[in-house]
Amino acid sequence: MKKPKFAYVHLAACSGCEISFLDNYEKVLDMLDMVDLEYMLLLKDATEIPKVDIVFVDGAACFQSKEAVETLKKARENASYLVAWGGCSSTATINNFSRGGQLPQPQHESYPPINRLVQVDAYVPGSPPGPEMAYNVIKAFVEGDLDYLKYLSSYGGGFACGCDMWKNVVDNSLCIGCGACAMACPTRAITMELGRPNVIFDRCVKCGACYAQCPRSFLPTDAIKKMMKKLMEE
Amino acid sequence: MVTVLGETIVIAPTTRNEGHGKLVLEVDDGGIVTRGNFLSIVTVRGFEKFLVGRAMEFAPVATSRFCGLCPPTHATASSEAIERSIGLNPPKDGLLLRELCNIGNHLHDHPLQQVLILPDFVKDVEKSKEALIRIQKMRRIGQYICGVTGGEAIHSPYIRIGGMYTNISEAARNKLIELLGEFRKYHDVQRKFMEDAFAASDVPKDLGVIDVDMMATDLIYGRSDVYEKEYYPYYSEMLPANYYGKQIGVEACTIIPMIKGKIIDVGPKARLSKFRGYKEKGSMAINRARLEEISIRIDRGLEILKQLDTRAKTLNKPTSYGTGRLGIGVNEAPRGTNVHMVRVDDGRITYYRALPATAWNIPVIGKATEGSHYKWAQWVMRSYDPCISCATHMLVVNDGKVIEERWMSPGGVP
Repeated sequence: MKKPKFAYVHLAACSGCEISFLDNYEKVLDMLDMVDLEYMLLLKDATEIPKVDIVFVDGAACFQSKEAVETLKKARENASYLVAWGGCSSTATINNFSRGGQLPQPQHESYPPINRLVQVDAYVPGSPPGPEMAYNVIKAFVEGDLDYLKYLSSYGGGFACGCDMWKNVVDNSLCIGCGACAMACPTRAITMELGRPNVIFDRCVKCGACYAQCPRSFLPTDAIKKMMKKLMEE
Repeated sequence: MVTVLGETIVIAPTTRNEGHGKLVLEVDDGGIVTRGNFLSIVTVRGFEKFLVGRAMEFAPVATSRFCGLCPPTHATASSEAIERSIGLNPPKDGLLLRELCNIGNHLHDHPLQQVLILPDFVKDVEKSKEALIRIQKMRRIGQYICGVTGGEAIHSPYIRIGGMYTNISEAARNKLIELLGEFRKYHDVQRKFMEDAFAASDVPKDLGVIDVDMMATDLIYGRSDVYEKEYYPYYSEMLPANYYGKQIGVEACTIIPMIKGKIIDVGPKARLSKFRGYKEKGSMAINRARLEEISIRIDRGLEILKQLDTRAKTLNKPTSYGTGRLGIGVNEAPRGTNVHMVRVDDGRITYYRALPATAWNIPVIGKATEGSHYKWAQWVMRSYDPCISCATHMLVVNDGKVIEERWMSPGGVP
C-alpha cells in the first residue's frame, strides 16, 4: 500500500504543538515511517504546501493578514483530511484574547478558530495536546480507524471556555465528579470543589481541553472497547 | 523559496527555524551579500495589549504561550517582573527549583537546534538517523526535568508569582540526578559527533563574523539587577520601517531594540564571551558555544539537585498587590537575554512589555549574513536558532534615541 502523504502547517501560534509533536521522541521516526512527511517548515526545506492526504494545521490565521488566510485555504484545498492540531487552531485558545493595537502591525486583531474559515475534519484541542495524540491520530488515519477519529470529529471546535463544563455538564446533571477536566487542564485552572469543577478564570486560556476530556461530553464506547480488547491481547 | 529580483535575493519563508522568517539580501555580481535584512512575518498576536486590565496571575500563564520551545523562560521572566513590581521575594528553594526548570528547558531546546542544522552538516542518512535518536533521547530527559519541576514540559503551570507551586519529592530528586547522568553520556557522544561534523564541513571560516556588541546578564539563569544597571538606562528602539527602509520594513512584525543606539547580539556566544572569556567569532562559534552550554547546564543541574531541600517551601504569597511601580524581570533564555517589564496596580496589570531573546537577534542575523555568499545566509540564520514567534510582541516607546542615562533609585526603577 502506498504511504499517505503528510503536511504540517504552522500559523500564528507558539510552536508548542510542534514541540509536542516532536516530543514523541524516538517514536517520531515510527510516525515518519507511517506517512511521508512532505511539508513542515521546522524540519524540511520544502516551502510550498503540496497535495497531501492528511494535514495538521497548528495556530490561528489572522483575519487581517491576507497571507495567513491564504495559507490556511491552501492547506484545506491541498489536503483530503484536515486536522486542527492543538488549541490555537481548534478553539483559538490564547488568541481569543487578542484585541489588536500593538505596533508594528496594530491592525492584527482577530484570530478566530480555523473552522470559521475552512472545514475541519478532526479537532485535537489542548494547549498543547499530549504528544501521544499526534501518534494516535496519524496511526488511526493510516489504519482507517474511524471509531477513534469519530471522537475527534464530533467535538465541534470553536470558542471554548472553562464554563463549558458548567453550562453543558454540571448544569445538565451529567457531572460524575471524576476530575478528568481538572487533570486535563494545562494551566491548572480547575480545582474540584465538593465533587464539582471549579474554574479559576484568571488562569483559563480557553483551550477546551477540559470539555474535550470530560467523559460526559462524549463517550467513545466502541473505541474504548476496541482498545481494551487490544490491551488484553497484549 | 528563493526569488531573484535584480540585485536583491529574497528567501521566504526561511526553513528549519521556528516561525516564519524572511531574508531580503542585496548582493553584488559575485553573489556576495552587501546588505542583509532578516525579518519576522509572524502576525502580531498583541499579548502586551491584551494583558492590560487582567489579573497579574494571568501574565505568566499567557506569556509562556509566546513560545512553545522556551515557555519556562517567559513564565520566569514574567513572574520575576511582577515580583519586583509588587515587592515579593520567592523562597530560596523556590528559586532553585525555578532555575532547574529552566535548565530542563535548555537541555531540550539546545539539542533541538541540532535537529534543525543536521541536514546542513551530515549527509549520511544512517548517521543522521542515529544522531536524531540520540538527540531525541536527550530531549526526552530535558523535557522530563521541565515537566517534573514545572508541572508540564510545555507551558509549565507551576511557575507562579512568588516561587514554584510545589516542591519535588525526594524520589523525584534521585530520579533526576540519575537522568542527568544518563544525559551526560548521550551528550558526550553527540558533542563529539557534532564537533567532527562542524570540522569536516566547508563553511567559510569568516561566516557571520560581525563587529556588534554583545549582551548577557548571567552564564545560566539571568539577573534582573544586572540588566537594570548595565543595559536598561541605554535602551531605545526603532520601528522596522525606519530601520529596514520603508519598502522592506512595512511587513516586518518586530521592533528593533537597541542598546546605546546600536543593535546587540545575545545568546550562547555572548554569555560565554562575557562569563567564560570565549574568544571565537562568527556563526560556527555560536554552534560550538551551544554545545559547551549544554555541558555547563548539566553540571549546574546536578549542583542544584544536591542543594535543593525537598521539604522546604517553594512559594511565598504576595503581601501587597502593587502600586503601579515598574518591575523588570530578566531571564537567560536558550537564545539569549529575555526581558519582561510590567506595572501592577492593585493586582491588575496596567502595562506590559516583553523583549524576548530573538527580538534582539533579528537585526543582528541580517547583518551577520553580510560579506558572504547568499547561499550561506540560512546557515547564519540557523546558527542563531531564531524563535520568531517569541520575538513578535513589540511596542515602540522611544524611536531610535537612547533614553537619557540615569542612575537607579535605591528602590529599583521609578
